[in-house]
Amino acid sequence: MRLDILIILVLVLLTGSWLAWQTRQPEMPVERLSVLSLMAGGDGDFRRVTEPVPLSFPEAHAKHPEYQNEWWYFTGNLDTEDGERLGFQYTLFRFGTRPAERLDSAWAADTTWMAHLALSDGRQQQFFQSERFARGALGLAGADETRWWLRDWEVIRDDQTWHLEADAGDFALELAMTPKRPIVLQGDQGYSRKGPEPGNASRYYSVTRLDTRGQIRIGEQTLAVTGLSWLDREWGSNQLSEEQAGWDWFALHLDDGRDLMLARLRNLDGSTSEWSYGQLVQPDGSARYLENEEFSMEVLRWWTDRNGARWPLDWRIEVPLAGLSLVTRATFDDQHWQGSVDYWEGMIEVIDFDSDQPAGRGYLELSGYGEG
Amino acid sequence: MRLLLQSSRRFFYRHPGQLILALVGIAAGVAVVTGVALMREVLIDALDSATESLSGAESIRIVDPRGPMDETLFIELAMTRGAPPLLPVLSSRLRHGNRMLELLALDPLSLEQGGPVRLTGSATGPLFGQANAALVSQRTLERLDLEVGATLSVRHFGEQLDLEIVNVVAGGRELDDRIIMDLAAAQHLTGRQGELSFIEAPVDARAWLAERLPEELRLIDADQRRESAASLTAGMRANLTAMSLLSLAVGLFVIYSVLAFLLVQRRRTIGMMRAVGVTEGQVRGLLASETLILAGLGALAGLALGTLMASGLLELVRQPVAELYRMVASAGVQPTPLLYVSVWILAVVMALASVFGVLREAQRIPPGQLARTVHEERSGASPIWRWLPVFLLVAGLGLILVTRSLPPVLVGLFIMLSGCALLAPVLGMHLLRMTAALTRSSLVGRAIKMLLSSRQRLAPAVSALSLALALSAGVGMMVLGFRATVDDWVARLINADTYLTVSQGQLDSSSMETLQDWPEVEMLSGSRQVRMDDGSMVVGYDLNPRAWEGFEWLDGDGLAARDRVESGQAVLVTEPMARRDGLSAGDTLELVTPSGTVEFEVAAVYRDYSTDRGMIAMIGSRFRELWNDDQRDSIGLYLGPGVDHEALEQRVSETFPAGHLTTRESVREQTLGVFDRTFRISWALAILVGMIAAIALISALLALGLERAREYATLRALGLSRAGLAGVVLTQTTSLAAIAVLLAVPFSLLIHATLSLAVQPRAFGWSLALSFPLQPLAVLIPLALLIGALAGAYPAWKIAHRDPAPLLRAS
Repeated sequence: MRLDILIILVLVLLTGSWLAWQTRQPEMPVERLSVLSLMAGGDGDFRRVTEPVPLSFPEAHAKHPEYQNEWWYFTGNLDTEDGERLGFQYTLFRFGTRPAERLDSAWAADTTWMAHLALSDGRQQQFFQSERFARGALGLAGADETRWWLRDWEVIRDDQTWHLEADAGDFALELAMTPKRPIVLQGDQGYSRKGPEPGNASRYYSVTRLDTRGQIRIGEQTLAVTGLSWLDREWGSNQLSEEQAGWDWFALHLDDGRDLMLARLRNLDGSTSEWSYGQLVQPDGSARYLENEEFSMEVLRWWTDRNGARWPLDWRIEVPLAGLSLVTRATFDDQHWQGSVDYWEGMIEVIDFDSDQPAGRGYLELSGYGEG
Repeated sequence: MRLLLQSSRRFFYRHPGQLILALVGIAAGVAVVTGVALMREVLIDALDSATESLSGAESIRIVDPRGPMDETLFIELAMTRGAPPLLPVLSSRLRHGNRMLELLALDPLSLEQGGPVRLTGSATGPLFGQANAALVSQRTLERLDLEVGATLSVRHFGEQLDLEIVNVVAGGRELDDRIIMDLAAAQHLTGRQGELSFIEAPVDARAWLAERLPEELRLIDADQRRESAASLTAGMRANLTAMSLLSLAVGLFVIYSVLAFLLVQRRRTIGMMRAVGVTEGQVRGLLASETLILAGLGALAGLALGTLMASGLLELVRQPVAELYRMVASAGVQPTPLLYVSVWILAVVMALASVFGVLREAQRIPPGQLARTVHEERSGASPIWRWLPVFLLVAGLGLILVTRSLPPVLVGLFIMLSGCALLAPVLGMHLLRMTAALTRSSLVGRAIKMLLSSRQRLAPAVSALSLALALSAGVGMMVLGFRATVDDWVARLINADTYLTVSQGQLDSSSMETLQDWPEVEMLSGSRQVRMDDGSMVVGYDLNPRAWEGFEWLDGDGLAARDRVESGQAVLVTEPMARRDGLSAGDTLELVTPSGTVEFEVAAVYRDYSTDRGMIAMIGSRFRELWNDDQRDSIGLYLGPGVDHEALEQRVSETFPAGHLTTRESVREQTLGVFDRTFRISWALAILVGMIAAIALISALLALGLERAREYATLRALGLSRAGLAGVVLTQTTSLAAIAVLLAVPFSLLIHATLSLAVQPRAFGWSLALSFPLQPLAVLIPLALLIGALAGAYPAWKIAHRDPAPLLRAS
């Protein structure tokens, strides 16, 4: 081929490629809001939990804006009429911020609210999740003694029953939850220490056993359900110390009528923090605080998520003073919450270690393993 | 065929200048078409690509046609069970120097979490709780020449706001010149508490929303928004398209003139080919292939050039679009393969069509025409051909006169221009003949006679040149004439001495009363505008007798109908409004107002260039009653004699802390400033066409000088001096340029008149008083003559220094 034709061809190819390159659609990175950024809105001078203070009800059910963080946390194990297993989680989070300026607008807010709604479908081993945010303005979200809400997701307390209604589009929950036991104050009268610094603590109370019934919609299918739920209420500021990486939290409904909560706080090196704690609730409602030394736990199995993060899903738990030697197993692996917070929250089976027989059900929360 | 192609390749090797000119000609035409086509797309997309990118491409929008909506609507919807994700947005226009920016204030927490949320967490964090925190895209940051952490000073309704760029948000060209803020901060900063501009929702929420929305609100989807942007800018885009096609036409004349000339130069070769058995079809195929390759390569280069040029052209139209249509367009273009392929095919097909005549001529070359005799010009063309230019001119003109819509007018203009193109060589040769007759036996006369002997070859060059020059000059004259009309209109309409506006707070009836009592104020006028759903405006005027005199009546007499207007029964409409809706004085029109639909009599139609969407003017008292709106956008102050302006300003600033006085002169300057910015694109296109004309001129003149080498050699051999010969060549090129530019004068007037009297009224709805500003011609005539002389200089030098013997030997 002659040189001139070659040069023209090269020029044509170059021009053509340049034009083709011009027509490309730019890639847009898809990113999400991060909870950390919501809490970074100003350091603020929030109150810290430093000592036991008697809690009074129902006032304590409402928000505590003088503290930085707060949550209203329902988890539960449910059965359909056909005996199929379902699990759910509904959490309302409050993050206080201290705005740099007072803004003259109804949208000005010193609070960001976040709600997490999740459904574990044991039949298909499917995990549904939905996350939404609202600013604490214009009545878009809030919590008082009888109502906790974020837009149209809400929990209303009438008398002794909490009614949860939340529709996430592809799934929806409508549940009535009635306490079977009195409120349990965690730690020392609700003062739950989590670290060595003064203020590494929270106010913490639970309703460990709520009789639950209602209906759940998955896609077009609506299922009537019954089961047991657990409510955790906690608030504070700077709860974890800087040495702590996260926690492994168990809420177990044992078949013998006892409820067991264990919170293993983890140090940055992965070891168990001396500030770990637990609570054992008897069928009559009496509760006993468990010190770190009074229980032990050991990971039996790790699961690796799509991002490569490893999560300890199966455990061996010993609480000698209660005569408990248990194994817990995730009902299925992928109950991994991927939103602005990266955590694992899902239903688990409880098995008696010695007899290898089912001994109850529960919920497990693992934090500090993933990206967020 | 391969052999034939090799022969043409060898030919172009020997004449690289011809090759380059042909390529440049077509590339320049295609570049303008590409640039304008790319720019058009951006104008249509401009309206809402930014919010689409934030809330998802498939979104619908809740709007209140009456203006900003109450934020409580968002709360009501969002709190309803089963509510879809809703994004509340407050949008506003900001000015940064001469640049328009769009403020998009939204609630980042309402962004759909599962959707393509493109605000990063770390980006939105600093937005909360800081009154002046703003985000921009990386492109915008670079365009504003700022860095994260820098302060961006903008003006919002005359008031300066200092924003801090706290972070960069991920986004492409749709976020160009967009400033993203938190809703609370934006309301705080702009004083627009309680207001939302619109609410975005996912498209599948349409049914849910339709069931629950209050009746007066509308749901519009992306297609409807595109349509509305398209119709807003229709006039402007039609103008641009017409200009770009004219550029392409000129580019095609260049390629035609080059190819026609190449054929002339190769008659001998082709004759030899025919003698050795090459068929007519093969010759035709050869020339068609040459055209295809030349046009294909040129068009490819044109696409690239046009893409490079598009951003520059876009920058010229972005600001007028923002000022006139309140749309902030992206600053970058987004070419598509379809657009490139379409323009390329268009250019190649039109090039092939334009050389059709050349192909026919090539076919007629008899075998064995070896001798390079001076080609016998065909004369006595059939009467049909002779009368064709006149027929085209008449047909084009007829079409323009009888139609009322824009596209046929543009077609008519094209037909008329084709007539001019055909007429140009005929008239040009007549002119040359007359000049030759006048100069007789002088060297000039001889030189021109030589030119006349090859008139057919010169025809395309003369056409291309005169047409391109005429276009440049015609567009220039239209813009200047229009400017003069607008200047007259402003001077007449703006007749108060000074105008009061406020950047914060309100001007209302009580402000009018306050001012009325001031001794230095003789009379007042006031106005309040609202934008209607279709982009048209309704204005409520408080008019005094002098203000009434500011109107120029085009139909009916408003002054005569003043009683009916002042009683609120009748309204005045602007010319674009009248033309668009077919209204004339005495008609009635229905107006949808917040107080219901009201019927009005049209008292008169008046001249107005402020908006091509049309405006309805009514008396202020009626406006305030119907819109329940007591505010004034501005108050005109008619002052008594000898008023001290400084003292007045002092008094105004004491009474109205956020008030500004603007003098009549600066209102006029601002209006003309907007006008000038609007027509910068027309100037740019006129200059581009002018440049293509220059290319055509140089191409034709170089060809002319080089082609006649043998005849020059004869003259030289006969004893003509080098200087004499150079003079002959220069005379020829300069006189060719001269006839082209002479012909361009009437053509340019025709184009100017068509654009002013037919295209403008149909594109924008307003008529222009025809005036003949001659500055463009005053620039172009000497320029063309200079180019003529310069383009002749090289061949003149070359020919004069060439040994005549070898050239003569060839015969």
